[in-house]
Amino acid sequence: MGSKRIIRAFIAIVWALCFCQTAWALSVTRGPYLQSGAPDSITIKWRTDQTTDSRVRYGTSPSNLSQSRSISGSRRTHEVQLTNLTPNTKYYYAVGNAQTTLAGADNEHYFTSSPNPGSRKPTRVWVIGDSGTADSNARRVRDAYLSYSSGRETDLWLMLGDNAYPDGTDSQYQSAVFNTYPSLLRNTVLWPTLGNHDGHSADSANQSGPYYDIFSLPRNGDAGGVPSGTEAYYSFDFGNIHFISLESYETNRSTSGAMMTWLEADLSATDKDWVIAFWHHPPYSKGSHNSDSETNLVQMRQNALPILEAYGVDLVMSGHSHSYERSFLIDGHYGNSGSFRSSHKKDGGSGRESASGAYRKSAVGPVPHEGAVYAVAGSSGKTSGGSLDHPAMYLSLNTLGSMVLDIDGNRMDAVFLDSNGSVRDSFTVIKGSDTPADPDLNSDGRVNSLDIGILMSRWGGSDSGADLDRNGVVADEDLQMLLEAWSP
Amino acid sequence: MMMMLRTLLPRVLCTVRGARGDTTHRDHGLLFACVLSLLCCVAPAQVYAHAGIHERIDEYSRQLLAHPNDAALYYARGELYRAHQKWDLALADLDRAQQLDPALAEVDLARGKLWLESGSVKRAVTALDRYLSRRTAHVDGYATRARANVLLRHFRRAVADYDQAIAGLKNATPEYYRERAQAVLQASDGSVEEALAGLDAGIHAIGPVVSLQGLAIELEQRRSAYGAALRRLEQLPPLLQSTPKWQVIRCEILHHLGRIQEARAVLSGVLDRISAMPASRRKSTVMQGLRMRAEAALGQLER
Ligand SMILES: [Fe+2]
Repeated sequence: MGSKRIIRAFIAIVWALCFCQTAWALSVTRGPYLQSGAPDSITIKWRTDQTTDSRVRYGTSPSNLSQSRSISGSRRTHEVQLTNLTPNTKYYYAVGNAQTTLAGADNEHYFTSSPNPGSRKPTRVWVIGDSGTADSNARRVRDAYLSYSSGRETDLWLMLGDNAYPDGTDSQYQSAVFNTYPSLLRNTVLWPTLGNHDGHSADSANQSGPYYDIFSLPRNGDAGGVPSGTEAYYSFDFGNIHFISLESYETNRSTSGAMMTWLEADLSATDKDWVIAFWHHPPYSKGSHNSDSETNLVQMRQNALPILEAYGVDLVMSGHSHSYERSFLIDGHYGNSGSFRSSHKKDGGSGRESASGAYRKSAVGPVPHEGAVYAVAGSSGKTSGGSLDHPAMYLSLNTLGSMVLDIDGNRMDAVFLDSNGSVRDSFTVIKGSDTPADPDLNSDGRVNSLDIGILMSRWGGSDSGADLDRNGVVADEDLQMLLEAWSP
Repeated sequence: MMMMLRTLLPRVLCTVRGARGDTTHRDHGLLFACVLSLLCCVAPAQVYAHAGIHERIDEYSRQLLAHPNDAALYYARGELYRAHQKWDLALADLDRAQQLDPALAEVDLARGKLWLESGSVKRAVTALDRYLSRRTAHVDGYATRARANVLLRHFRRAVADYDQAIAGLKNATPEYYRERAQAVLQASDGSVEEALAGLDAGIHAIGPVVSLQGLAIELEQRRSAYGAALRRLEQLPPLLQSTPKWQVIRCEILHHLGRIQEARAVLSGVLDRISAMPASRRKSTVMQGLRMRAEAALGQLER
């Protein structure tokens, strides 16, 4: 009797499998999620439970997805690039195949194309590191952010590596990324860097393995920046911010290698207001990893930092140590922690306006050697302690959480948000002056054609009162400000 | 597993029945995927779910108490020790792994990396020789040995290893091509032409990325092939060509080609751009260096 029951159960399962394969509708098992966002293009990826063709419909209203892009042939992992988008525009979308919509065409599936390069759009960035635990820790960090940011779109999302523990396999990514952050993935472009755990199953030289299958990153400068020729390290622009993602695990980190050569070229070619770099292995840390003794950390500090600082990097974020460690505004420190001196501090205060004041740099745009803030934000999935006493750090916390950046024109506000939703650190960087100059250039009490004449005579220059918006160069924006203040 | 099956079976059947009803197909697909993935779950339990390196080492040590002859466990723990730069502990584990399972070739790759990372380059090459005699198409093995050979100044051998590594890649990477060219240039019998040919193979596969094309431009100038240098420069991304550095290089090349007027115009443009920069940027080491280089080039043109 017992064996008959087992046979019946077995037949039922086989029948169920056959039935499902033939009669059940397709479903989306991963995503959709957004990659390589640019002003005029974006890549949408998703996975289905069965093979089918790919189609994305999109438009500026969820009820009118008038445009579409299809790819024939059959696959389970779908990747469709939309092109000819209007910059800084909200699009709704739906994914599916030629016949059916499988997800979207509602208010929950949308993206906003990146703003034009150089334009100053208030930008919110969510930053998580070592988040790949797929557990209640990661979910609490997520929920704290979603609650903090409710009512405010997330423009960009950075993952600092070790995105899926323990080995970055496809199924671990399913749990730690796709099942953990489904709503953000639908609406916000995710920009990652490779951590050592991701590297267990991925190969950067070959750009193969789950990490490289899952992410589609701009190797050809498709989203701004100089082409790197590889997805292992890349850069992109978002409005007035230039982002750089380096690979600190298994790519050659020497100054004569391909990555650092590209880094120097990429930095030399950006004129954006802000330069933000991120990679996994922190140049300064006394958390669960020690930047004095571990090769990858030492090499990134010794080799990448001099290049970044020579071109005026503003903020560097890493993970690997499962803690939050945030530096003063510092420059020129490439040795071990024992050699850190107060002379390396460009500003030894908190960077808080309410206390010692915001960190300041003299001009908007890349400003060499005026200091950068270095943050370890590797506690988005777990905390692992450590001595947490690196002298470059203003603050070190063994606390679960994430970073939130708000960049608006020449001002950046950053916070560390813990998993209970409390802001545990904040700092501000202001570039150039935050008060515009007086458009009455000849101080005659009127803003008129004489002032325009003065402004035109200083056109393209920098060190004059005519740089009304204090961005370092007399240009269109200054003329516009003058005209707005017109009182002849 | 049997417990799990007993719990899940009614749900599978219920789900299948439901598929004929009016519940959405999408929900069934998701549920089915979950159930199926559980039914098919035959992967061994992860020994170290979300642990850090120390916990993972501890976990392997615990497992080794129960399975003292498991070569794979010694190998895995040895790799963790290596990542943590505990060279002696790592070597002891790798040695033990190989004693227990001489067929475990990866031990020699791990040893090779360990010796290389800890500065014993000759030993690294010996281990990697053994490894590559057994795994003849292993990209990482060849690339690691190539780098070891560069350190030993065995540049010709390094070039041969880079060739093997490059041939094994499915997706080309700039770094092996660049390192190969650098090795060729240091080989006593290496030539600029040979280095350029290797860079061009990379450029053909990847595109004129600056890590390859930049070096190629330098080499074209070195062999006084200024026309070729200019053609290559004009293939760089426009964003990069417009930077002061590449504008100055362009002028130096134009000068050699006798295109003096053009060179002069570009140089004064560069100098104007540098002067218009904010003081903090203009006075940076990078910009001061470029300004001096541009002024020197302009001086040469005036002569
Ligand atoms: Fe890590």
